Amino acid sequence: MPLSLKLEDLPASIDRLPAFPRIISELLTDLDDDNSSMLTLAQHVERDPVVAGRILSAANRILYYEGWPEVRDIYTAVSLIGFKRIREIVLTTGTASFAGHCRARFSWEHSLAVGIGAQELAPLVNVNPHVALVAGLLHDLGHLWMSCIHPLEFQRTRLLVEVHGKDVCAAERELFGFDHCVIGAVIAHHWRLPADVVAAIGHHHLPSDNAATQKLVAITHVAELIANALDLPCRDINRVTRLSPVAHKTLGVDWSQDCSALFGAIEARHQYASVIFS
Amino acid sequence: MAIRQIYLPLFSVRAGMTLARSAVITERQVTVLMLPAGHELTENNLAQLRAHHADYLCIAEEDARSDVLRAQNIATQSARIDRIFCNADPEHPETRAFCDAVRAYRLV
Repeated sequence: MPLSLKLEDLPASIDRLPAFPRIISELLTDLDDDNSSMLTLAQHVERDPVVAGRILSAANRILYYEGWPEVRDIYTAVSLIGFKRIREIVLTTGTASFAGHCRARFSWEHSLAVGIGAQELAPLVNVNPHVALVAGLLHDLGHLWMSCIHPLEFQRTRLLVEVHGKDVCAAERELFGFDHCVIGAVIAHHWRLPADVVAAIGHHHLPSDNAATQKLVAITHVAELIANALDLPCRDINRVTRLSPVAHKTLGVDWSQDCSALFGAIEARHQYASVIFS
Repeated sequence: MAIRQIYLPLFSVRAGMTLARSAVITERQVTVLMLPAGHELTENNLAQLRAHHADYLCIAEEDARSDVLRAQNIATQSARIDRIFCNADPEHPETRAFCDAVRAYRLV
C-alpha cells in the first residue's frame, strides 16, 4: 500500500532522526578560514568527548600507517597530520556516526566512495573539495530517512530494485510519492546546509539540464556514476543508466583521454579510507 | 613480461616497487616532493611520502598472469561492466564514452 505523504509534513518527521552533527554544518560555513575552522573544531572537542574520541581514533589510524606514535589530543594530531586532513576526518567521521546512529540499512561504503569521487572531481571546476566531500557523503540522505522512518516501505523499494530491476527513483515515487533525492534535499534544507549541497543532494540522480549546470550537482552526479561503474563497493545493484550530457559538459571531462589517473586515485583512496573510517 | 599500472594505497606500497607515474606532493601550491616515473622506491622515499601524507601511488607491476588467465580476467571484468551498464542506452554518446573509459581502465 503506497504511503500518502505530503512534502510539507516531512520536516516534522526529520526530528525523529538522530541529531545531525552541528560540527559539520559549522565547518562548512568557514571552510575558507582555517583559524575560524580550528576554533570551531576546538569548541566542539571541548564540549563533546565523543566527537573528540572519534576524531582521535581515525587520526591515530592514519598516524599508525604513517609511522607516528599514538597521540592523545587533537592539537598534536593537527600538528602531525595538518588541519586540512583533520577537517576531512571530522566531516567524514561526523557523517559516518550519524549514519551509524540511524541503524539503517544504508550503504555507508557507497557514500564514502561518492564523497571521495566528488573530492577528486572538485578541482576540475574550482569547487572546494571539502564541500564536494560532504555533498558526496550525504547524497543518499533520503535513503537514511526512508529506512529510519518507514523501514518496511524502504525494504519494499529495495525489493523492487534488486529483484525486479525497477529504477530506484521510480520505485520510491510509487511507494513514497517522492524519491530519495527530493526527501534528502528537504532534510538538508531543514538542517540549513549550504544551498549548493542541498541542490547536489536533490539532483544527483538524473539532474535536469538546468540543475546540471551547477558545479556541485554535476560533481555529485558524475561521482556517483564513477563509484557505481568501478564497483566501489562491489554491490550487485551498482548500475549506470545515463550520464547527464550537461553535467558532463559542466565538468569538461574528456572520457576519450586516459582516465586511469582519475579512476585509480578514487579507487586507491577509497581502499585507504575504508580502512581508516571502518 | 608485460608491465601494468596499479594504484595502491600507501600502506600497501613497499620499498623496491617502481613508480609507474611520477609522485608529486604539493603543499600550499609549492612542490615539496617529486619522484619521477620509473623510480625504484626506497624506505627513505616511503618515509618522506608518509611524512607528507601521500595516500596512494601508481606502481608499475610485472604482469605475471598467463595469457589464459589474463583473458579470463578480462572476460570476467567485461561481463561485470556489461551488467553495470545493462540499463544504459548504448547510443547515448556521453554514457557510451564514459563506459568506454571504464573499459579502458578495467580491461587490462
